[in-house]
Amino acid sequence: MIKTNLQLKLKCWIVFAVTLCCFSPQLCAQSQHRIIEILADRDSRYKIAGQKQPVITAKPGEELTLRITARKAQTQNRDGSVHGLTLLRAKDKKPVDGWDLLLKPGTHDFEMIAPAEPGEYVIVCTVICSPDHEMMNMRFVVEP
Amino acid sequence: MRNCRPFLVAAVLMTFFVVAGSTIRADGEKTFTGEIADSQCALGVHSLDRSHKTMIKMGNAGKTSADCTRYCVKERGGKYVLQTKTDVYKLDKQELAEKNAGLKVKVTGTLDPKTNVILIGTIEAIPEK
Repeated sequence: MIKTNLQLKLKCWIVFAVTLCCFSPQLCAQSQHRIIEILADRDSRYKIAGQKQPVITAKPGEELTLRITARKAQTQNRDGSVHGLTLLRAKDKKPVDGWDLLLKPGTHDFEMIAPAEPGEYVIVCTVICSPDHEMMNMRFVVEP
Repeated sequence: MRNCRPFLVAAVLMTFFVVAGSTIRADGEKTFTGEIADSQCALGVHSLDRSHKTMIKMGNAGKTSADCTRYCVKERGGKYVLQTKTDVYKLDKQELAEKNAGLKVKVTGTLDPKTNVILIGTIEAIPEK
């Protein structure tokens, strides 16, 4: 009788452990956003490792973590921001709600949601960071 | 005592209106004098003039402060703001600000101190001397 009880408990633990193993990666995947590392550099350029012309590609409404490292170029805002990051719809330059970041020096994480509307977008710097400030742009594509 | 009641009621009412009136006045409309600028140029460490000059020098922002202000809002994701000698205020009615872009103005309105937004009543351009 005691042996049967122990066997039953053991079976329960095995079932529990197998279930946990099966579902935990999915749970982790659901709770973690895709992390995109961006360098807002001192030469007034956005950079993404491994990309010559940096582009961010996302799904409509995708949750993203932007891990941005900002380095001061030549000038900054009064509040100490050395670069900005604003997302505009490419066809009419309309700002996307919630995408208006001011970047202080150092590395910071920003939880963002990609626009719901597929299409071409452009990221621009909003701090007059150097004479090259206007070149500080990056493509952002929302795939259908 | 009964004869006094109307006077007491009147006194209480008067006190209420005086207190309420002063509160409304304290939180009420003010006049702010400054320039309608774009957030990008106004928030930089340099003077507004120098920020506009830097942008104009880059080649795409037109030739005047008004051109630069409109360019920074329409093409670079900026917003119209009021820059005074000491502060930069956000403005609620962007379309009213747009008409006065780059101009020295008097803005009459109510400041929300929590958001630093002026709820615009009127904007009046100040003629250049």
